[in-house]
Amino acid sequence: MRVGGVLVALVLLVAVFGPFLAPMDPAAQDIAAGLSANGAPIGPSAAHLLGTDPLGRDILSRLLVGARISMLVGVLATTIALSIGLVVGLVAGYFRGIVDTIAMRAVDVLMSFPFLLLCIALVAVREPGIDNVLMVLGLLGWTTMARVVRGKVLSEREKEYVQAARALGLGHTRIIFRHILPNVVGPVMVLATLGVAATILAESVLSYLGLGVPPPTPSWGSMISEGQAWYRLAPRLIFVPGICILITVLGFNLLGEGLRDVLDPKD
Amino acid sequence: MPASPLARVALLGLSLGLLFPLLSACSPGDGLAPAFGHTSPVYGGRFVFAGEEDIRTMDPAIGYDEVSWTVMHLVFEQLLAYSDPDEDGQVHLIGGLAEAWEVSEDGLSWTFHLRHGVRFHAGLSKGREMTADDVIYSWTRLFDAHLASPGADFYAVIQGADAVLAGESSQVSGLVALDPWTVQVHLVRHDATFANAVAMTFGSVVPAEDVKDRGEQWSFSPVGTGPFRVESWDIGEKTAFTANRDYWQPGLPYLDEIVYLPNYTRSIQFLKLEAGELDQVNRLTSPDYLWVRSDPAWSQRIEEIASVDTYGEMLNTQMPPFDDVWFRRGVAASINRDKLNKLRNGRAHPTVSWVPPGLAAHVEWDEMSPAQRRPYRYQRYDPGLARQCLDQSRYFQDGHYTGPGITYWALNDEASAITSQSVQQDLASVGVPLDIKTTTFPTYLSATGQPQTVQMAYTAWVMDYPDPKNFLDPIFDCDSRAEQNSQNSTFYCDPETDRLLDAADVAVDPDQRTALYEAAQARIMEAAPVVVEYHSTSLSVTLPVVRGFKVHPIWTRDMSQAWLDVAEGRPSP
Repeated sequence: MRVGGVLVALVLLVAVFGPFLAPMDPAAQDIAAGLSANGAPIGPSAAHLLGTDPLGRDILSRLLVGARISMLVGVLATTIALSIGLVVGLVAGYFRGIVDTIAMRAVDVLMSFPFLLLCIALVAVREPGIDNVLMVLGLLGWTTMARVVRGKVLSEREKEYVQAARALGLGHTRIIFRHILPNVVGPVMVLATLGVAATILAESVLSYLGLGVPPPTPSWGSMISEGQAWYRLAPRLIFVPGICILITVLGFNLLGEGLRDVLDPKD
Repeated sequence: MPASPLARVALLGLSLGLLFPLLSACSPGDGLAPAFGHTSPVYGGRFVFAGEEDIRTMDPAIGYDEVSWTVMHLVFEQLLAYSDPDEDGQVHLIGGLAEAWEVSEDGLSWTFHLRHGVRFHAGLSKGREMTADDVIYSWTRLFDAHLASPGADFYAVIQGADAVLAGESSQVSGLVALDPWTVQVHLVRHDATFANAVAMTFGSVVPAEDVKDRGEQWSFSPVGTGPFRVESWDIGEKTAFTANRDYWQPGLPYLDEIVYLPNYTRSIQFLKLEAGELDQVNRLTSPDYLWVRSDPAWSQRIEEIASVDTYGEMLNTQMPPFDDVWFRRGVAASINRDKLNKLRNGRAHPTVSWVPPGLAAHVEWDEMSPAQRRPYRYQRYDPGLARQCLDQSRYFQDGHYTGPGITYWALNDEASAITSQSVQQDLASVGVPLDIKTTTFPTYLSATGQPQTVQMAYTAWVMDYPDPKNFLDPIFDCDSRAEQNSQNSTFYCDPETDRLLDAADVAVDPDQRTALYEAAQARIMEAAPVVVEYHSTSLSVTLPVVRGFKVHPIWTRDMSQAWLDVAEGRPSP
């Protein structure tokens, strides 16, 4: 968990302070010095520490600014998914019956579609843009959260502290949010951490397909997409953002696994 | 047992470390199969090529795009044809299905003498001989209102065409069969480009009984007189053409089969060429181009010729903010053409002239007097002039853009992506924000062909025939505007431009005609409905075994005399 925590903290720091640390405007095209005579991007130099991309833009600056996009989408979309999944799971598990049936069938329907395919279809219909990517990833990513929370609530609602709260005449809302919710936070935290990693990957895929953040705003996925044709002449164009995605996703996964071990040792 | 986190990191690092040298070790020329060494053409073999989109149609009365024209050139022929490019890259009209033709002194009467022994591919026509009636049927078909042929405009100068277009007659009075092998055509006025129209695919000769009987299905396996016939068309997968062994040109074709594979990006096409799965590609991404040029084996396989085309941006003159001429001029002057040339590896030649080199009415900035330069000055990179123009537009106040959001339509290919982001940066530097919308070619064509839909888009015009009319009339004439499939995508309409174009159309004296087109172009460039950027370079990369393949300025690819220099090639049958 420590390795994961350090990696996540590092990426978060870059996301927060990256745009201030970027040596150049990430959209500025340095045609004179940023491209060689035949138009190829240049390699690492004192002026461009990680070299330039095919439009003569500074890769380091784009990487630092792109970190904010990736983290913003990862964290915000996961927050949306978490909020929806938590409420649906709590209500379905607590009330059971027809409410539970309707909620879980809705989850079944959504989960029967391949997640990325559905994201691609919705983003394509609604125009690419960071707001649409956030909305689509958030609105489609809540199903696993809802299922896990519901399962946990089903067992919690039978416990004595819930029966005691009922006997005292407390309302459903108070029982759900004041008494049951604190007891399902553990798996929620683990899932949220893993969800951020999955969402960052999904954003990268959408950006890679040209359905993510529109140009010239950089994101790690779009940087790979723009650099992929140069894989032979300038492989750094795909490896540098690729390694950033890899480190970030690895960090969140390690953190999530560590949190699971701490919060739910039985599993 | 699950690996520890550190072990996983190490494994990933190892994987990347292995992948990197593997990628670097692949030299492009390694897999090139050498030619066998035949000194004269041999028969047999299959030639495979690919493109980024599927064939839109194989009905020669309808097809009006690069892919359709390329494949239709295999299947159909016209009365007149184009020669191979000469040393200057120019093509000339030669006899096709007509072995000779005469034009009356006033240019109003054309007589075509058809070749004997030209047979249609086997179909309902059962390989029968082509006659003058087939020519008349094929050209009359262009005026069928239900067909909505984009070729009708090119033939509208024939007497009686308007009556058929209006549904008042089923026969074009100006088309007469003097005998089975002689067609006479009467025009309502002199038209310097009529011979060019005859050589377009719209003028292809098709058998009436086959077209009528098979209805809409006909365009999926059409019948013509060309060196290849359509074997099969699996939409989205492949189209196969097999040799027409009854072809009228002795000894041709050499190949047994030609296959077209759609929906492959430029990168994938080059990978398939390297793997020997394709025989030729005609578009390369920038990195693949530099890679090919740097490799001794591949660099011998590349052929480059100056294209007769113009690239730039279309600005919809009916949509804000491009309904303001000063805004359009400001945008045109803010685009750095030299930057685009560098981004395209020096293959994009900056220009101020919409009419490309090699055609009458083409102009070069360095060869113009100061007075001549005046209307063209907005089509050069001049940030100072751009700011002056923008400040004069009603969409700028106190040096700030106050107009509506601008969406730029780009195509989903590497060249368009680079151009769009370069333009976006150039406009940002003069205070004009731009959103980029990436789309597919069919969507792009459909959207740009409708009014009030696309504000600004990547655009290009490639020569249909070698005449300035082809670069001006279809795109800037008021009559070229339409509610659907409008060729005039800027919806530019200027009565004085129309007057100049109409006068040029009927001018008999070539010098006077050129002067009229020059005047029309100058007027259009000053109004800036388009941003003129560059003329491109065509290229072709072929496998070493490919012989006789030609890069053609009209047909793009000419495979009619191609052959494969392989050991299993058959001698002359």
